[in-house]
Amino acid sequence: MRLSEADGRPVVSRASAETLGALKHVVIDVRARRIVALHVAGGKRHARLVDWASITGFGPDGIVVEDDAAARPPADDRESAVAAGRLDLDGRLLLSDAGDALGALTDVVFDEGTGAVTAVEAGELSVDAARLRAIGPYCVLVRAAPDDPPAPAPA
Amino acid sequence: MSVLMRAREISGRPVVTLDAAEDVAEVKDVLFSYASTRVVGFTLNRRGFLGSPMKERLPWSRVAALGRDAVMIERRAELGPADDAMEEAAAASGDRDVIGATVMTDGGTSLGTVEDVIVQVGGEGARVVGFEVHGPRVERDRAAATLLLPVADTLAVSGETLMVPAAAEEFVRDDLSGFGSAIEEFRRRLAEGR
Repeated sequence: MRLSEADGRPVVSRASAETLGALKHVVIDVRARRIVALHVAGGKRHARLVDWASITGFGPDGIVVEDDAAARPPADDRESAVAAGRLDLDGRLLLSDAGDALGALTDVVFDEGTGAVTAVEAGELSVDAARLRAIGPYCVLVRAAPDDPPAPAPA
Repeated sequence: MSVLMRAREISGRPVVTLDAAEDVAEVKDVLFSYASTRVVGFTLNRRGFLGSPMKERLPWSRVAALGRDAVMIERRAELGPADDAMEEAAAASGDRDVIGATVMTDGGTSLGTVEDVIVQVGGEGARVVGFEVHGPRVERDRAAATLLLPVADTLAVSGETLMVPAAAEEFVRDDLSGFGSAIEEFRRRLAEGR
């Protein structure tokens, strides 16, 4: 599934049937290549993050979590940055570790059953998640590959 | 594989950390050694609107990669004092800037003034391989307003003059495409001819 399809999907508590908010951002563990938490925005509560482990169903019309207590405040600087939109993925520069820009990030492909991230996309370009090195305030950094789009001819 | 870049294009490129994907500085000036023609490091500006100069330097020995769009370093801590190669190059050059110097061949012909420095980035580091030269003679003799002039393994630069072998003039190119092979031919000629 693509993150753009899941964007804005309601996050609902199974215990209370209350909507906790809508999916706004994701927290990705780059080393593990997984989505580890969702940032849920627009609810009544101040609690903002939902661990992937709390999800009981990631369906086409809603993301169901165990109970209202699944939503929690950001636990570290990185989660705070995600919740504040400072690590927003959409449109972020995709840069190779050789220092060459590959494009602007348009989507993240992931497995809705496990949260495993399989690829990141910049328009037509799809980069295997195995090449991910870091997601930071400046860019999404990936390992350079021989088949990266060649440098434009110097003027 | 190697890539040719203009030094002015490198100035302003962000310095990005591989561990945090963060832009921690941007390149102010490219520093190179006249004795070895190698790029020895960079002076830095802070990122952002104001872009004030930073006291930290980035020696080439701590650069992970120099790409089209960014200079990559492992972590923020790579920024710091100049290393020996930078200190030596600065001491030897006496802060003489090659930009604006008059290019004079050893035959006594003035070709114009240096507008920019052409840097080749490859497996074994980054080195100066040519200059972009501009001047009245250039405009009179050539279609393009600027020329690319290949350089030898070492450079003689005073405050106002850059001395080049007369043979360099034959390998002048109007643009960067084909300049790489011109450099190789020129170097071969120098090696054979002297």
